[in-house]
Amino acid sequence: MKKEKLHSIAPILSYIKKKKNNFKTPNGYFNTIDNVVITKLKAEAIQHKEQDLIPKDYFDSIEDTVIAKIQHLENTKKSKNTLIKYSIPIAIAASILLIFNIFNKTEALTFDSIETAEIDAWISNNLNEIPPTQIATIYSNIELDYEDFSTQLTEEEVFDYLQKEGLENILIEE
Amino acid sequence: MIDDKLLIVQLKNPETQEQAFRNLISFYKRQLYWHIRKIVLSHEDADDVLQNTFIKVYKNINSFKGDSKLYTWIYRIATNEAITCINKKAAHQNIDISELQYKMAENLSDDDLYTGDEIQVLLQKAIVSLPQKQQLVFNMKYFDELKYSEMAEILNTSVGALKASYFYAVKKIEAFLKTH
Repeated sequence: MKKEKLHSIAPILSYIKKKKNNFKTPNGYFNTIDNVVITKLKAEAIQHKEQDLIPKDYFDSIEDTVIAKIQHLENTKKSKNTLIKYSIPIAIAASILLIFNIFNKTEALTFDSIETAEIDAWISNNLNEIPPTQIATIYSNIELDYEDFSTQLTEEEVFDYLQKEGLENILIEE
Repeated sequence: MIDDKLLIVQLKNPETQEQAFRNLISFYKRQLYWHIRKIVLSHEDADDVLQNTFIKVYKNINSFKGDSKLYTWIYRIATNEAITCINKKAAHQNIDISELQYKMAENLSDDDLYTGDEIQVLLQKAIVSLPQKQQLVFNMKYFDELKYSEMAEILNTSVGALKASYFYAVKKIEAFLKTH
């Protein structure tokens, strides 16, 4: 359509057409577009070369492969946790049972079941904790020979002993 | 004026391909850019489409049979890429193409790379109110000043149909401008 015809059928459009181009580009845009396109093409070519080095459809299936591996690891972890969760209580229970069996014999414990040697050994090891009066009471049939007492006691030692045994009152009373 | 035949030979030869391609970009970049820009309106989209157009030309040069001019072949690629860009944008935003284009025209006033006045913005709104093919015809004739024969090759439409389409586009736009 010629300009004159345009003006006759569409004067507003004809008026606007005389105005300058109102779309702008960034400074220097047309100077760089050539290199941008060439660089993009070269980058694509390199990417294609790299893709030739990997199996076909590798990137299509990688997500599924990774998710499957993660799920397998999680299942293994769950199994381990389950084992740990139940094995520890079982181990504790077994230990308790073992200890219980060791210290809780099926046969009733009596004085006769204890070996004499064991009794002597116990007394020897715990003599200091047994009150002398108790020993005297227990072994009342044993008469001591005064010659066994070779140690000479001083009056002070005697008094300390009596005080210790709570017998000083008896002395005072007498 | 670029020698199409020589350029095509050089483009198909690996040894001369890169330099020939640089020559092609250099020769067609502005014309293609402004054609694309009128369709997509924003510089960012126009830049993307222009790059994609040249990349497609490079990749498909061996399939160019020479039954049309090199220029019209490239122009057709650019047009299709621009339409694809708009369609993708509309699909992404889940809106109709016409609604998207109207929004794009409305946003021109806020675009730093657009210096048109009120009536020029109104013209853009009028253009996007047309059917898509009619928009292309109008842009190619009114802004790009292509010959009907060239447009016929690009749009694969007869010259007569294009003349009729342009006539009706002009009438509709003029009416739109008068009523707004």
